[in-house]
Amino acid sequence: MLVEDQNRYPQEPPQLPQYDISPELKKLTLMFIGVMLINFLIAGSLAIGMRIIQTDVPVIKVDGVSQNVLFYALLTAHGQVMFFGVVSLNTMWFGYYAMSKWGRKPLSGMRWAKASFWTMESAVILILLSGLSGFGAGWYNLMPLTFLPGRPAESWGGVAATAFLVADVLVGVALTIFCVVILVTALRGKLPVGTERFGSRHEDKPTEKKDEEHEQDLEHTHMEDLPASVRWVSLLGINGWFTKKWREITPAVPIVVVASFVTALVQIVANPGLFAQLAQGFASIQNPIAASNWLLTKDAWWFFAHPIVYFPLLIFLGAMYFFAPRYGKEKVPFNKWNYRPWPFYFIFSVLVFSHHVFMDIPNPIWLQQVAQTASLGIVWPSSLTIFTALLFTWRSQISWNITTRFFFAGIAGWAFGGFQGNQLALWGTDVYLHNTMSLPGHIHLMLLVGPLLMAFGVLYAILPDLTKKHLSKTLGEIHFWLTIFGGFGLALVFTVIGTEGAIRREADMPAAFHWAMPWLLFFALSVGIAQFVFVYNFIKTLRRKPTRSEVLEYDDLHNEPTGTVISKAGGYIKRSDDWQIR
Amino acid sequence: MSMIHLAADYGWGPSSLLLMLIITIIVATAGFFIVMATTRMKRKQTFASKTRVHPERYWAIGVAAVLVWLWINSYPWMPPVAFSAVNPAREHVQTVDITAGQWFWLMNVEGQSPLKPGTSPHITLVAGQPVKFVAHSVDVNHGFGLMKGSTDSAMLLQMQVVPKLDNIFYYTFKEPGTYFVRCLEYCGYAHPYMTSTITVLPATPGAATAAGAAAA
Repeated sequence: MLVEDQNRYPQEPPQLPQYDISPELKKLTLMFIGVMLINFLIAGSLAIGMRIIQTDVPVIKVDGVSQNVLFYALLTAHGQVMFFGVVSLNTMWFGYYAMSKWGRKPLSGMRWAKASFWTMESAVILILLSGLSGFGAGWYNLMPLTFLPGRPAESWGGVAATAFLVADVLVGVALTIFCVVILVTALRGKLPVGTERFGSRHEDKPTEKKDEEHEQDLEHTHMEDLPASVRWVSLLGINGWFTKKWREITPAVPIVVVASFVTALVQIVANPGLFAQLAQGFASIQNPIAASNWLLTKDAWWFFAHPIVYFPLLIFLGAMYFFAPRYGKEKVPFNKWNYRPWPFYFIFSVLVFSHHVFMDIPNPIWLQQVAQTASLGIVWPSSLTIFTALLFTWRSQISWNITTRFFFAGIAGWAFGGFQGNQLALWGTDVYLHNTMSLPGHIHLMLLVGPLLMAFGVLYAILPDLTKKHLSKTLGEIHFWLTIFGGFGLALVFTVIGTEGAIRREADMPAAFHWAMPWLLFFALSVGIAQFVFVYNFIKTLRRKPTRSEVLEYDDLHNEPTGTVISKAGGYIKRSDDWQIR
Repeated sequence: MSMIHLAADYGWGPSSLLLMLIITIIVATAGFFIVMATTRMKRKQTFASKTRVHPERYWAIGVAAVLVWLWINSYPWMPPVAFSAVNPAREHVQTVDITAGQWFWLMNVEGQSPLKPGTSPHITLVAGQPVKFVAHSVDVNHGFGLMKGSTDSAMLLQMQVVPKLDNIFYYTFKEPGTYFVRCLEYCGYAHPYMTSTITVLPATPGAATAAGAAAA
């Protein structure tokens, strides 16, 4: 029996591309989302445990040494599960979904996509098991601490360390599989493209006029097998930098496809860093003291690990470029500035890694200067994206639903994290901020209230497409407000105490900062409760029957896709789809 | 006597950084709310009309200019550039040899008697004379952090102590007093307790002798 319920977010069509992804991919996407949420709850609970220990709430009763050991095990597992079990899984599910949906074709390697899911989740389970065995070398696994915990009998032994290393191998494999699937899907076969002069190229009406009809003619789309050089230019957004004459005739691919491609390309370039670090790790298990170059091992790790921070971000920026103007009811919202940042995102994401090792004085000066240049350089495309988002919003008809609110809050969080990042990006000022609580502040702004909020925005927008049902509006509002309240509060308190001199990764925080600990616990609990609300909303929606209005709505959508019919020449129905470059 | 000038000496110390960050966040938050408020205005604007005056172009140029300015301005604070102010051939440089391990600091000043086992692990230096900290680790990666005042005050300098390498940082103490050393890089469960102190005497004639006597 169908149940009527008015308390649902109405379908404000984000006008997703009219391509139905395969049922297999839908199922995989929902699996990714479900498991990601479970991992989020687990990793969040580990963080609450850390907060409880530092607040001295008498819930966890252990003595001094055991309390520290527990704290560091929680810290390690929290960081790794968040990075790989949550934000990376977010990128993976949306990457597969987006490449198929916006690329208007099946994924190349559906079986590999499934394999990446199981590999990553196996890694997460192994990370948790190593944590249960006391492994606490930090999520970034700074060797040789992995093998020299100080007193193994009181902290962790070789088995836990080996399990952790194996888990990270699986992480690397899963990420590599994801990148390969995305890249192959993008580089092989046809892609949806459009150009301003599409009409004249394909023997339609010439598009010389500058009136409204001409505006409509600009929005053509078709599938084309691009030559390799043109394909790379389009997929990296380089054509956004062409002069108007060349821009008008160079094919443009959907911005979400560009974002997916750049994300995968950056990460596949970075992954060898992880494997190099792990290889050194495995080689050192027997005799870590005799091992060779720990500085190089550290540099290799950060070559992987800074891009992994942008891995969850870039793809959701692509989503923002797509969704924001649509919710603002714009007809042709995209312009060259949407595409221009992307070549710089690629270059700087790869180069920026070594600002993590600014404090390693023995690193060559040229490397440090490249790091500073790239760290400041990545601010440039980031600021462009933020500006474009604000420009979309300014005096627009945007409707403030749950998706747009999450996007806007995510852009704000990412911007605040970026302001802080500017200070960390300068070698001279990083001297005062590195290894203080400013860094957890920065990373929680950059990840928790940045891309994760944008990911939630995307989830609310596309879950109806996957499930043909709407989520509860009231529960969505609670989720939104509690998440941003707790997330921003947490990040800002971290930042304030960090700049006052609180050191990070201190199980035993000095007395001068005890005032902040209850606040951190309070904000962390807010975030945690919000996610339970969302999970409840998600499960409840999946399990209930669709309402009558939902059935009619999705039947209508399926039969009458959105977008104006431009022409029916050659048996192909051309509709408006506004992702071409102007 | 040359002085090593780091970012704080140019007005970009921790307090200034926090103030700049707070102001930026307040301004940005206000900006975000203003943008949101404009969506309630009756007179809307299409994206095409907004971009007619090419705001993105001017924004891109402006941001690039600010970033270049930051890079150029921060050049003197880059540690190797700051350190180049020291000329060991012409002035006395106090060299401190630091050994870091789980979970201790062992510091010895060149020219002074090495610390005896069981003595309180702190050293004595002189203000106004450059200090060369040379740190090496016997086990894992540590972080040498120096703070003025109690252990919870803002940072004066820091560097990583990577195993098997000499990690070098130059610094000039401007004021006498007691400074605190903390390990900044997580190195095992007793990491929070890996601390030490440095006593800095005023820069007077004979201060170096006094520092050596204090160490003995």
